[in-house]
Amino acid sequence: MKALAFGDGAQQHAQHNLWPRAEIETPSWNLYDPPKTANRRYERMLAYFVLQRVANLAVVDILKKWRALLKPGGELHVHVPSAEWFARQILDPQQPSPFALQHLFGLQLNEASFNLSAFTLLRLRQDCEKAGLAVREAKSYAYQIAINGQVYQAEQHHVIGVKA
Amino acid sequence: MKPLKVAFCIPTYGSQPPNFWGPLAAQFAEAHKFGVDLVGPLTESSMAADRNRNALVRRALATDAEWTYWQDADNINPAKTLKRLLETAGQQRTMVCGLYYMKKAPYRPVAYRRLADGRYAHIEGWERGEILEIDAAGMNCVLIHRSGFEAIDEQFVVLQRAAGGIVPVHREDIEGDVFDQASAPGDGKVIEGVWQQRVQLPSEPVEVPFFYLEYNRTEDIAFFEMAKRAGQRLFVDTSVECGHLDWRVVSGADYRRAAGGGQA
Repeated sequence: MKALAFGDGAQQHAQHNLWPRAEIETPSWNLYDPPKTANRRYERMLAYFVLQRVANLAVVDILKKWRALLKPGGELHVHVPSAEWFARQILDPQQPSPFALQHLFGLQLNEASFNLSAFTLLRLRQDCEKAGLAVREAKSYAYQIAINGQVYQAEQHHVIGVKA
Repeated sequence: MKPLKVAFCIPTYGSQPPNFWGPLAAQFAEAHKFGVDLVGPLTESSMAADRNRNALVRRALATDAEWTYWQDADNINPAKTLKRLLETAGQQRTMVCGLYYMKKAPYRPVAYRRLADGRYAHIEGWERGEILEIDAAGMNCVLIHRSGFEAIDEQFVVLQRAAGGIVPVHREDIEGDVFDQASAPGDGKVIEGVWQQRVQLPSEPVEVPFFYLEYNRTEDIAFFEMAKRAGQRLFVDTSVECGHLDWRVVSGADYRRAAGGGQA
């Protein structure tokens, strides 16, 4: 099985947790403008905390481009930070997470780590459907991130869309 | 491509309010748009909920419909419900439902997880849009593949209770012989915490009831327990929210408002 994984830690996550027997590639080309030659090449794709870096109005178009890379019946796994978790944190009068702003807007360490979009789970599902992906799994759960030796916990959305 | 056949099942009890019909017609129209060939609507009207549902299952199984879709007569479902449930089901799932809410405050979801002591608790703590595995649900907005019913039919047998009535039992849960006529002094008593229920072979063939009322529980609980025993799994797609008709339409917004303005 041929798979494509992109995003920080994506290849490791794909190899160890998702598809241990797959031949996993990382893109050598522009993620947001894939070459036509890569179309219908992959059975599985993992977009690991990447979609939130795409400009809000371009999300569906990018998802369509990624969908084109899949073989019919192929699956696209999308992970993004949870906007609902951010909302709960930022409105928490007691003890909002110190990581809340970075969770939503990115670590902002360099140009590539600014987030340009935010997703509720419903919005992510709708965007996947607009891009022609049938949503088969939709979950929200915790993820952890270490920054300067400090570990923070937040929540992510994980959607699996299938190319019909 | 051959259109997907879905039996549209509606058990009814009396008449429906005017605001039931518009959304129902919208569902029919939408189904045709995405290539579903509806069988029905199949309806059964008696005051017995379990009888209605069992009759509908048998009628649906007698057709070549691959799926049954269940709409209750006091619900209004969004037009694209069936499309969404079919997509969520895909090729792997045999039972998928949407979400609706109890008519009375605090408007909890009619979707349940089974507790260790056999009781059921409303689901809570989900994010809107999640697809979750659950143990039971109300029967509105449920999509069930025919193989789900066929599995129950194949794996369960009906036995006669000596005290009256029938009970479906999984074939693997029967040890030793079941006799036509037999009795023992302990029959019907609770001995050391075990209810001694005598069962016999029925005097004439009886079809497996998929739905039946028992022990102060609704008829759908028995179905989902049998389905689970037969290897079926139930999933709720929380992106599908339906209205529950009372003197007004109760929705997810009522639940969220009652829960304090946020999604539980």
